[in-house]
Amino acid sequence: MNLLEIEHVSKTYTDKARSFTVLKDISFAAKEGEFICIIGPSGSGKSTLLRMITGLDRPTDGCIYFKNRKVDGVTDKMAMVFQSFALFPWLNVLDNVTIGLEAKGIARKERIALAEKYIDKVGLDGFEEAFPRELSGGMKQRVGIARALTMEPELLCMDEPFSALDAFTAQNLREEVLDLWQDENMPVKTVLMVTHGIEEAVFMADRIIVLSKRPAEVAADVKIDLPRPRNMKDRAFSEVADRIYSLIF
Amino acid sequence: MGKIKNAIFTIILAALVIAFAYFAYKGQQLNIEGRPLSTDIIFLPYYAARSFARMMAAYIISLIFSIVYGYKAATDSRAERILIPVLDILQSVPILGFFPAAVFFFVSLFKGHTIGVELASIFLIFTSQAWNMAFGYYESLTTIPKDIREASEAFKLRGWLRFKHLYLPSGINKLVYNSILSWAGGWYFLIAAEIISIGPIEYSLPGLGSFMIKSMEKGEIFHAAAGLVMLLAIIAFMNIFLWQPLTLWADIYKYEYSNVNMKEKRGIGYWLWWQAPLLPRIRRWVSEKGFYIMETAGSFVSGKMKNAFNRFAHIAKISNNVIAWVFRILLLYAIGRGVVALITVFSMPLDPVLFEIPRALLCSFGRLTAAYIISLLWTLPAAIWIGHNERVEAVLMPLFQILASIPATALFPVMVFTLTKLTGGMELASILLVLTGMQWYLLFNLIAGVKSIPGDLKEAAKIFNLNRILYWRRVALPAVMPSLITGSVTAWGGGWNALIVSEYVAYAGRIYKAFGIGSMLDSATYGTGNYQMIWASLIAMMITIVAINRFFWGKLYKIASYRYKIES
Repeated sequence: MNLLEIEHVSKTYTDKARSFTVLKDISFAAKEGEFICIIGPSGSGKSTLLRMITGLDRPTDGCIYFKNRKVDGVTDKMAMVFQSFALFPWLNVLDNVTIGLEAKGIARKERIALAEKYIDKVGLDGFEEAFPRELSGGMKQRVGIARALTMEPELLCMDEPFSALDAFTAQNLREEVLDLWQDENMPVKTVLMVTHGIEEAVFMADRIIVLSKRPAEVAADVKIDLPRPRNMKDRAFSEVADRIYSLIF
Repeated sequence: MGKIKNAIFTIILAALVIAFAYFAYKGQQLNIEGRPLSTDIIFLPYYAARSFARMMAAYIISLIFSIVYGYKAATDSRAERILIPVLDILQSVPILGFFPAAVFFFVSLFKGHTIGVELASIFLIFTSQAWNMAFGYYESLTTIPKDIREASEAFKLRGWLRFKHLYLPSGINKLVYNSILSWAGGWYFLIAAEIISIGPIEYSLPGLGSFMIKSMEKGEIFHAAAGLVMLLAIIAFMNIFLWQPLTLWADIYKYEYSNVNMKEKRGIGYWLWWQAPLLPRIRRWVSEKGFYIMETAGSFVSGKMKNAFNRFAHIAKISNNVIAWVFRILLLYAIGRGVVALITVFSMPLDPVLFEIPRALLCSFGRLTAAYIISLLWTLPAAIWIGHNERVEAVLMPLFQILASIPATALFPVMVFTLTKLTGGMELASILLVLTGMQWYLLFNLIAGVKSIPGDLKEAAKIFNLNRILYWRRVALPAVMPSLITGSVTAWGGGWNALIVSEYVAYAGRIYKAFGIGSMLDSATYGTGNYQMIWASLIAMMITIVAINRFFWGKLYKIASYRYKIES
């Protein structure tokens, strides 16, 4: 069954002087349990597409269906991890993680219990009282991930979640995210991730949607069959990565 | 299109203000007894408490006003188009000129009871505190980073929750910063707000300001000095125990994701609140023992607030149309009455003095320019120096804050008395008086501008060995340009306001005047009671100010913010 269907979606920005199309006639579908990466050159509207899927933005044309229902506005069933973390600087880790639950109207005790589980999962235990500014970049993004996971969403959307981190931290976090995704006890099964790193996409995804230059169309939809855990040094890995490169440039 | 709309709003607001004042003036006489104020030093603490209460009342109203106004303007783009130009005008209108009207209004509202005078004085202080706070709060809401905005949307923070977690915290820094400025401005006007004199009638509210003025008039310099010391003590006390800890605490609410630029937490006030043995222990004890109670009470209050907030939002949504229509009708009525009043006033034979208004405006403009240049000459170097030296800043900033809060208005009589003796005229005295109402706005804005120069720019300047002159020309001056212009606009606003008390000073039964629009207005208000003159000079002043803001500062700001904006 398709969890998510994107049908002929376009996005055009218009101001007084001119109008320009960022996304043109995008269509694809995501099955439950898939890990999908959307890649494309910068300015190709990847992030815009993700924002339209989560309901933060509206398409100019076309429709997006989540569980056969048209997306208009944000829902609890999808959660988002931001490139710049988007943590509230005035809230500590616990309050940042529970903020979505608070909006859901869940009582404080339950909020904390639920949050603790995911704070543990991402390796933040002991940091509940810390403020974002006291954490390193990697730790901040763990907070961002825990905040999304506590919503126990059916679709986890990630907008270049590792691109603000240093290479080491990013690789560690990638592996941890994969572990979480493969964890049988985790409610999150389906992940949609935007990235501009080809190796990153090949390392993580079941499927890669390649967008072309602006106005972006779906240039290719590539299934990645490499066995997990994957190794970036493998020959098979580089062959796949090279193929994706050739699709973009 | 936007310009025309702005012009229309300006006209509507002006007409509204005029209408308001017309109702206030119309046939109302101030019929309260001018009770003599005792200048016995025994009453000093009592007077100080009264003045403080007045300031606090005005401040609380300003705070609520700022949050409501700023919130509405920042979250409703239709309201924003009206609210922001209106605020802009309110900020630049010389409020002191309308003070007699406000007094009449409140006094007649309370049928001559002294509470009307009290309210009028609170209202005046409010007008000196509210605008910059409202602007600051609005600004901080419009500059919330996009990702945090999106996160609030994505995690469905709505209504009360969004206010509590997003709109309130993100405004705290600017609110604290502007509160300090507002209190300084409030003290400055307190003096003018405690002695109310219209024509022959004078009424003094018991307070520090009136105490100082009265004892000075009687020549009791020692008493006046005691009043000043009392005022300084209050200001210093508030700085140490309120503003310093609050400023440190407000650091939490910055969009700063590293600890590098955090201020060091120190100062006796901060220590007392957070580190001293007693208060924090009491707080901890309460929070531990009373955790359950606090929690329930907290969630109860929060729930109530949430309900009230959401109900209010709901009602506001439904009744928006009704309110808008009622407002429109009231507006039309007021404008109609205002126009009628104006026509009546100006259809009377014109006073020949009326034709001197352009010359008076020019004279006053010259004084303001002189005061502005003097302010600029000392504040610009001072700000660049202070902004680059943290140690200097730590010493000088509190000092300047205190100096800025000293109501120079209280010292006016003495200054005028000595300066007119020395220079033989009012000219220098009134320029200096205007200066006291101008310079601080410039200084504080400039310091903030200098401090916002990014560290890497300063480091780049060092690496490439820029000498002092080159650094000023290439880095410091361009970087402070936007805040220089913002500061100038506020300084000129303060200057026009100060003009009204600077060209016309009554001291020991004598009136000292310098020819200008301010003294013209005062002579008409306090002396002849000629409505034609009052309105003509007020309108002339408003037109001049709005024109200068629109066509000079507004244009300049656009250029500066485009050319000198530092992209992060």
